[in-house]
This record gives sequence, structure tokens and C-alpha cells, in this order.
Amino acid sequence: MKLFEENWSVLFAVLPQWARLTPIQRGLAVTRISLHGYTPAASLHEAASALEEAGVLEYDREKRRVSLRPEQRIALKLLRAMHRHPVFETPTELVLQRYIEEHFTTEEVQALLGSMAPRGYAAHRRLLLARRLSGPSWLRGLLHPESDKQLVEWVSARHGPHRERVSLPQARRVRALVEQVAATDGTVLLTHLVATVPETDWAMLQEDLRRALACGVLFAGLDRHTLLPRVGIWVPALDFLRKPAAPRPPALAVAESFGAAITMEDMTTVLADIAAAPARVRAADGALFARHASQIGARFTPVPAWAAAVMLDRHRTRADSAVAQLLHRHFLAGARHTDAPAVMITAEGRSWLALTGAQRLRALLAPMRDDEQRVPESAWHNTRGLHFFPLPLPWYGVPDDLDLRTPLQALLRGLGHDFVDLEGLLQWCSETDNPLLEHAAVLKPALEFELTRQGLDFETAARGLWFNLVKSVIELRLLPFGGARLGRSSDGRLAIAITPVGHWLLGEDREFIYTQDSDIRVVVQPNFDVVLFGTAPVVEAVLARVADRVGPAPGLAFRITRTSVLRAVHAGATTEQVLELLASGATDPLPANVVHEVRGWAASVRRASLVPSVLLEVEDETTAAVVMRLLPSGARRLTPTCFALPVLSGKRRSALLKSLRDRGVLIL
Amino acid sequence: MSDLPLIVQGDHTVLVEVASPRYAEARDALARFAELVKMPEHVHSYRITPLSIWNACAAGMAVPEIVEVLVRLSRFPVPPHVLAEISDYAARFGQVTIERCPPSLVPRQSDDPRGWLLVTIASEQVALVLQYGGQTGAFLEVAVAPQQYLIAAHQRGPLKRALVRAGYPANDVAGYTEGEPLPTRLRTTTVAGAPFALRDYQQVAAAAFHERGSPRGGSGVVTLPCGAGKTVVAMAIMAETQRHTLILTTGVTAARQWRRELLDKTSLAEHDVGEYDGTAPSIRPVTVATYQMLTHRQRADGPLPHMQLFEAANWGLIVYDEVHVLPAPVFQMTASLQARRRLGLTATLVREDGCEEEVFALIGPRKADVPWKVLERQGWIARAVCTEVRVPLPAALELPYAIADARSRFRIASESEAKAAVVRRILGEHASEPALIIGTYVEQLQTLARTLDAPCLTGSTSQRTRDTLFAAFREGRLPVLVVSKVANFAIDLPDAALAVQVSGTFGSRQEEAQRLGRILRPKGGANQAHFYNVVSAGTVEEEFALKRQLFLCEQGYEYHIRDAASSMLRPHPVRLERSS
Repeated sequence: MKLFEENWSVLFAVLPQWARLTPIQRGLAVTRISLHGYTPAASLHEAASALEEAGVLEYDREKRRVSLRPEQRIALKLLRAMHRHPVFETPTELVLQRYIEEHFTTEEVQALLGSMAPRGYAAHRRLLLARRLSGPSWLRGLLHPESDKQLVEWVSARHGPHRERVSLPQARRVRALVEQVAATDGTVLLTHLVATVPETDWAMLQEDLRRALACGVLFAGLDRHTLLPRVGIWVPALDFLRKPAAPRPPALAVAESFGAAITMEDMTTVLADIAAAPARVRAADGALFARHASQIGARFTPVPAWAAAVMLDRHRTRADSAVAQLLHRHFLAGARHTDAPAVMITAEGRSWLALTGAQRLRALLAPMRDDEQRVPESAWHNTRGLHFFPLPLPWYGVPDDLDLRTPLQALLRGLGHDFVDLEGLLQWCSETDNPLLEHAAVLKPALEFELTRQGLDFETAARGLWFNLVKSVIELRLLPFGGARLGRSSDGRLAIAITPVGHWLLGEDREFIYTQDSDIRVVVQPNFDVVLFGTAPVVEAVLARVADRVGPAPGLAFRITRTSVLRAVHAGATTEQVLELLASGATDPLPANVVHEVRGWAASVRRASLVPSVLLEVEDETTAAVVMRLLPSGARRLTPTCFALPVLSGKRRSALLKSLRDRGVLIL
Repeated sequence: MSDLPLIVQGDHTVLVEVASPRYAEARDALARFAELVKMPEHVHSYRITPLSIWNACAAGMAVPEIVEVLVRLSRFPVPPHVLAEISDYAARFGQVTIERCPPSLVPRQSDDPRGWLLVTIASEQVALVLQYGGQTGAFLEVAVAPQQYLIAAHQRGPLKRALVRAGYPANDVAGYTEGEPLPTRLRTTTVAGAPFALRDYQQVAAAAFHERGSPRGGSGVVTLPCGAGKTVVAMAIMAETQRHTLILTTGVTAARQWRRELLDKTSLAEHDVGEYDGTAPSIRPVTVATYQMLTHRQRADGPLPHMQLFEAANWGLIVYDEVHVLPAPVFQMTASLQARRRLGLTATLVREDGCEEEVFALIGPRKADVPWKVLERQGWIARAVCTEVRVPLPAALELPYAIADARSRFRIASESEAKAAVVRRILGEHASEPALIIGTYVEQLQTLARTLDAPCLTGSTSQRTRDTLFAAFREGRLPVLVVSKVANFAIDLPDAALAVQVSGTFGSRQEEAQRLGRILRPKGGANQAHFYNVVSAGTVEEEFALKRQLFLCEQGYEYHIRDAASSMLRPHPVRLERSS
């Protein structure tokens, strides 16, 4: 059945009878009484006599069965239809879709969606309509039309599949009815509504109500407590009407905060580790092996649990995220190490690692800051890494000349350096300070196809998009690079404060100072332990070349051993370079006994080379003299009768054998 | 940068920065619940272990106090799992209580309540674990109530040992056998005529051990550096307990030294103090015996007849000198002596065999521990400077060294003749200081002794000769004494200011500490001692010396390395040098 095709006047007439019943009696009547036949009186318990007294039903002769009075049949049918869909109690998308499914035909749904709506599965179209009805634009089209003509067109366009033309007074009456309902709590008991008009006008009320129901601006349902019929506005749509615009969030006092540039720090830690030796990766997905990732992970700057949800990627380990970033920036490259897939540091990586903390951070941020992108790429572009906007737009059709970056930068720079409530900020900017809404005239037609396809109205889409764009810049551009500090108030609200690093990324010219590792103290002890008072990946990278790692920093992180010194020497460092490396990492001068031992270890190295050769031995020195003239370059005389020849290729070897044979020297 | 001195690491190591203005505060706080592992120049390492936490709990320290110290003084956030594990360790202490058995619970067949002890387990879950798991179950068979068991008194030690191994150390409040009374007091002037009084830390250590005679006191270990007067602490405790005392020590020389000290500094008379020689008449109210004597037996698998000494008298106190070398049979015997007061004395609780838990279970928790740096600063022990002198291997030994097996190489390098000249140079540079030449190989020492025209004291030297030589050295008539391993332990040669080690037992840390300890007794004047370690350069001896070097550096000693060709071997200036 369709609510807006039934005769509501009948219901208006019997409403006083239903009002006399108790909720239990109404509930039994709605759920148990048969519309067309008899119902056992026992199934209604004591309610049967009350319903009989109220004139809803009548007994048979034996008083064992009851039947509905004919004038009540349509009323009960309407009430039962309202009872099936708890539109006011559970205003979810699913409930609305079921409501639409019962009361609107496929054609009517298509008419409500408009001509540009995709023609696909009916269920999908119902979903799109449900979304459309839940947006703010739907009601605004009725309540705030730009002209009477537009009002008439709005109502006519939505009134059935054939777009029955309505008159201006009719359209106005529909609007007045919706305004009357909106002026209450958004729903009104039908009895109250009916009481406002004389019985003579019930037909007009019925007409207006059916139009409003058909246009999806009013809905009908039963009150949860009284089981009396109500009409009202769809709650999510009403929220848009009622909710005041979010105010600009004031400064918020935070109890704790966190602001390390963890992406840069993680990248540095991983690169410092891989700089010492290539890291093997899993062939299947190119990720670090779990043990290695966990060892590196122990050296990462800890992120407080309350900040982790915002600052860390839940789908990947921090080590893997860092490796991905390093590969993307070509600081790491794929390689094969001991015949297995590995990643190794590149020349660019080494150069980046050699920079100070601030320089490294600037090197990461500069491509994003200098990027000329004014609007995010469309969905098919992979924008990971170096663009200003970290995420693409979810739909196509945004004009290329639109500038979203300037208002976004202005918005965030305008926050100064104070902490502001993060959720409040996002709400405020999406609802109030939203450049997409300001550009509605341009954007709306451009995006109409795309938004209609997705069942979104422009205003909802614009709010959601700007909300997500600002959020993504904060979460993926500012927070991981130290551009914003994340704070938490005493009542658990998250807040952000833009730092000088953030202001620089957002276009300010003032240089920033990054002090994360500037005050690190490194102590080389007389017992060869190296203690780090803080985390400094660059220092650790230097020390890793000449000392064995024994734990994560801060704390006892390295130990200088004979093996570690020999490893450095093997890698090409001289004794003095080894000492220089140690001294460059240490804050205090090196202990004398350490210097003495390191010198001794480095000096104890004996170098040798392994040269593949062919040994040629002759019988006597006379033969040796003959042979010597024929030997290729690179041959050396080891003894008077023994020569070491370089390994020869097939042709050269054959040529040598032939020339020897020609001289009478036969190779046995 | 923050001036907080601690870094708490996830492996339960605590690093303390010495340069921090709050170092002293951190050191004193940590000493109560963490073991000092290393104390090199800049950053000292402590380790929090179950044992260290149990020691702290036994001393009455609570978990919130420990956590507060760590959080308050830590420069970086303390790893949460460390705090959780500290709570876990501490929660295990006191779960099991051993106390005297009330007469009402004594089994009918027994009429001696002293023969039984009551074991109470606080938690039902722990009771199940201990009753059905591991070695503890065998002791908990006589249940008198839920979570309450009776054990025979002689099972007290074995149960405590099993409980420590199971991770639930017992809170033993069953008290002690009083022992025969023996009036003892400390003199204010020694027999030799010198004024005598307890130092502050000695008084504190004695009081901490005795705890005014409560069942909580009366057993435990006092840890003091060599030369800090552990013997005096033991005498103070004897004066508190006023009971017959059995003193166990490492050798005859040390035993005689104990006797001499007791007679010199306490009111005990000659006939009160005996040196146990295996016969009954030598057992006196205060008897000094050696571990060797107690563990002596005719055959390798024969009985230990001298262990009867423990039961030969009604001892009120047993003193274990150098408790870190307590031999296994004495441990076994000690397990059955839990009703006697027990005092362990040591400079370091580090046992090469890792039996620290046995010491905790059978002797008792640590009662006092004073860092030697504090004592050095107060002048109670001498300041020691260690120098390693590297001597090239003589050309004649290069080939034999090259073709020898690993063990022989060490010996060839250790016995290098080239060391003699270096020793002479060192003695020349410290001409006015009484010197000990210490080595492992007797032939080498005898050769050196001949070269230096100094007497040589080895294991084969008679006790009479030893006493004579030590006396001559103490009195200054003998400037140089060559000694073998026999001088490693408990010999009081207060004036020795110079020790030259010409060979060692590979990389033994304990030997190094003990040998160095010989020269730490406070000196007059600059209160300075020198310890030289002469090694053959470029040999395995140098590698073992590196281990000793690490150990000494970790103990906080200044360590210098010199080549024999240096114009001066003596470190100058005395401060630790730095490369520029």
C-alpha cells in the first residue's frame, strides 16, 4: 500500500475513538485484528470489550469472535502501515529504504531522484533516494525556494512519476504544513494536527498531507509510547534545519601534548639502520621481516596511546610505513643481498641522512610546500608522497581552476599557535568556513552528474569533502612532520596547535627550528659502552658503523668491540677515521684507554687479497725462460720455475697453449 | 637538557648519569632495590632483578616507593612493563610465611613444638602452584588448614631454597635458637693502643643486621668494599648478639687475622677465641675455621667429618666471610642451620657460579651495602689507579708462542721474562711504597723473587713462614713481597700501596677484584694506591687483560694503558686522561 494514496479523512474521523484506548489496547488492535475476517476475542484479552465500546470492532453472536467495523478498515490499514516502519524511533538509512520500498514505486523513486540519476538496481536507487532525503537540500528546496515558480516546480517535479502539475496555492499549503510540523518538535500527533482545522477542511488537509508524503518531506509513523499516529520530518533532515552553525572553536587548554615529527624520525631511524647493512625484505610483499621490523621498532620515538589513533597508520607497521616513504623518495632502492630481496640506501639517502634534523625535515616538506597543486587530483591519480594535498578527490568534475589550497592555508594559519578542539575545528570549517559552499554556483552544475550518481546532494557532499580535506592535511601533512602538536584536554578532547614547522609548510616564510635531536648527549665510557641520552637516529647511524648495537636508545645503545672496529676497517675506514667517527658521535672526549685499544685493534689488521690464478710450473729454468716470453700480461713469476697466470678466457687460453706447443712446451 | 639522572631501560637496567646534580639522590635511592652492576666513569648501571626487589621488600620497602623513585628521577618515561614486573616480583615476596608452630597444631605423635614450623601461603592460587608444582610440593604435605602446612624444623632451609627457585621467597619469621651467651664488647682503645670506634656505616650495617634482636633481623649479608672493615662490622654484631660465634673464612692466614683482630678490638680473651684445627679442644666460644677444613675429607666420596663443627656447640651466630665463595657442601650444611643467626660478609655478591639466589635463600637478604666511591671520598679506603703495562714478547719466545696451543700460549705470554725488567722499573718509580708482586705461576714468581731479591710466598710456604713474612711486611721491614694466589683473599696488609700483577687466572673478575682489594686499606698521606698489570703485548694475555680491564673500568677504577717503552710507566697526572 501507499500511504499517500489512502483516504486519510477516514482516519481523521475515527481518531477520537482510537484516542480513548490505552496503548496496550491500541497495540493489540494494530497487531492482532484481522482486516477482513473474524478474530478470536480471546486473542485480544480484556482489550476486546474496550475496543468494542470504542466502536473499533464488534462481537459475533456467540461473543467468541470479533470483526472490524467497516469504517475502521482503512484506518487500521493506515495505522498498521505506520507501525511497520519506525521512522521516528529508528531514523536510519535502512529504515528509510524499507519505508520507500513499501510506499513508492520504482518510477516514483526515479522521479524523486531526477532525470540524471543512474538507472540501475531498484535497491540502489532506493539507497540513493534515502541519502537524498537525509540531506539538507531536500527540505531547503521546499522551505526556501528562490521564487514561487521554483516552489511550484519543486513540488510538481516530486509529485509522482507523471509530474502532476500543482498550483501555487497547493504548493504553498504543502510548505505551510511542513513548516507547521517543523515548528513543533519535528513530529506532531495526527490528532493535534487534525484538531487545528475544521472538519470541513479535512479534505484539503488530506490533500496537503498526501502531497507532503509523496514528496518525501513528511513521513508518517506511530508514536513509540502511545501508538498514536504521528506525522513528521525525517529526523536527519530535521537536524540540518535545526542545528545551529558550528561556532569557531575557541582556544583549548590541554593536559598533555605530543609533537614529534614521527614520520621523519621513523624514516631516519630506518634509514640509519639500513645504512649499516642492506635489509632483507620479504619477497611476497617487500616488507621488512618481522624480527627486523620489531628491532627497529624498539628504537622509534614512542607515541602516546591516546595519540596513536590519529598519528599512526593502523594498517601498516611504522617500520613498513617508513620503508615505503623512503622508497617513494628514492632514499632506498630495491637490491639483492646475499642473493635475497633486500633494500639498500641510495646516494640520495646518504645525503639526506647526513643533514641536520631541521634540514632533513625541510627536505621532506619542501616538495609539498613548493608544489603548485591548488586542488587535489581526481580519484585516478596516485598522489602519495609529494603533493600538498595528501588524498585525491572522491569524484571527478572539479574545475581545474578552483583554488582550495589558499583558503585551507588561510584557515590553518589563522589558528595561530594555540590549541583548538580538533573536532570542533573540522565541524566549523565544514559548515561555516567552507569554500566549496561559497563556490556552489560553479561547482554544483559541474558536479551534478557525479553527485547524483552517488546519491549525494551538493551541500552534504561539499561539507563532507571539505571536512575530509582539512582533516587529511592535518593528519597526513602536519602531524606526522611536526607541523602540528596533538594535544588532549583533561576531558579527553583532542586538539591541535600549528607549530612553526606547520606555518612554514602552509606557506609562511619564517624559518623554523627543529630541536628534536639537538640536545642529545652521547657518552663513550671507559668500559667501551656507548650511552645515548635521547634518540638521535643520525648519531646512531654514525655509531652503528664502528660499534655494535646492544639496545635501543635512549640508554645503553652501543658497545665498541674489536669485531666492530675491524668491521669498520674492513669497510675501508682507517684507524683515525674510526676514532673520528666515534669522537663525532660522542659528546665528551673519548677515554684514553678506548683510544688506545681502538688504535691497537685497527692496527692489528693484516690485509690480503684473494686472486684467482692459474699456476704454471715448468721443469727447469731454461724452459722457464722460453715460457716467460710467451706469457700474457698480468703473469707473475713466483719461483724460478713457477708462474702465476691470470685466469684466461677460452680463446686466449687456446692461443697460449698453441704458442707454447709451437715452442715445444707441451702442457700435460 | 633535563637534569634527571635515570634512564630506565626495557631490560630492567637502570642507567645513572654521574654528572647529574641529582646523582647522589638517585644512587642512594637505587641502592635499596637495584643491584649495582657497573660503575664506569660517566654512567653507572644498575639492574632490577627479582632478587633485588625481594631484598628491598625484606628491608620493608614498598612497591609504590620504588615506582615513585623511578618515575620521579627518570629522564624518559619508564617502560610500563618494567613497573608492572616490579609489582609482580614484589607481590611474590611474603606470599609464603614461615613462623613458629603454635602448640595446638603440633601433631599428636610429636611433643616438641620446636621441631615443627608453620608455613602459611597467602593466596589460594599460589598455594596450588607450590603444592603441585616443582620442588616445593614435597615439603607441603601436612596441611593443617587451607593454605597452611606444617614442616619439620630441619626442612626450613631446603624449603626456603626451593621457594626461591620457584620464585616465591619466604618471609621467615620463625626466629632463632639463642645460643650460649658470651659477654662481648668492643674496646675504645685497641690492645695495640690505638683509639678505636665504629665508623658510621659500620654502625648502620650492624644495626640493620641485628634489627634489635627481632626475628626479621639476624640473618643476611653485609656488602662492603675490600678494606672497609667488614671484620669490624662482624665484631659489632657479635657485641650486639652476645652469643657463641662460629666464624668461617677462606684460609688459615685469614683465620689468624680474624683471631688477631678479635683479640685486639673486643673484650674477648685469648681462651675465648680458638682456631679450629679439627680437634674438640680447639672449639671455643668464638671459633674461627676455614672452608677448606670444613670440606676436608679422606676420600673424594667420603664423609665430611668436620661438618660436625656446626653442631658441636650451641652457636648463637655463624659468620661466613667472603660469602661469595661459599663452597657447595657448606651451602648444604647451612640449609640445615636456619635456626642459627647467619651473617654473610663480602665485597661483591657476584658469584662466578651464579648462586646469588642460594645466598639469598640460605644466608639471608642483603642488609647493608655501601658504595666504595662513597667510602673512597670519605677516605675510608684508598684511591686506586690501575695501569696496564704492555711488554713486547721477547724474540726468543715468538716462535714457541706461535706454534703452541691456546692454553700454552697463555702461559708462555704470562711467564715472559721481559716482564721482570718492567717490574723493576715500576718498583723503581714507587721506591717508597710497600709493594706486592702477585702472580699465578710459581716458577715465574720464584724467578722474579730471585731477581728482585725478595721473599716468595706460595701455597707450599709453611704457615709459620707466612706469618713471619706478613708480619715483616706489615712492620715495614720488608718492602717487597712476591705472593701467589694464596694472597688473593682476606689478608690484611694495610700498608701495601703498590701491587704488580705479573700473571692472572685468565680473565677472572673475582681474582682481579680480590687482588686489587689487597691495596685498598686506607693509607696515610695521599691515600693513594697503584695496581699494575703487566701483560705481553699482542698475545692472548692481552685479550684476557681486556676482560679484566673492562671489569675494573666497570668497577669505576681509573685505568691506563702504557707501553713498556714509555719513558714513565706511572700515570701522570693521576687523573684519568682523555684524548683531545
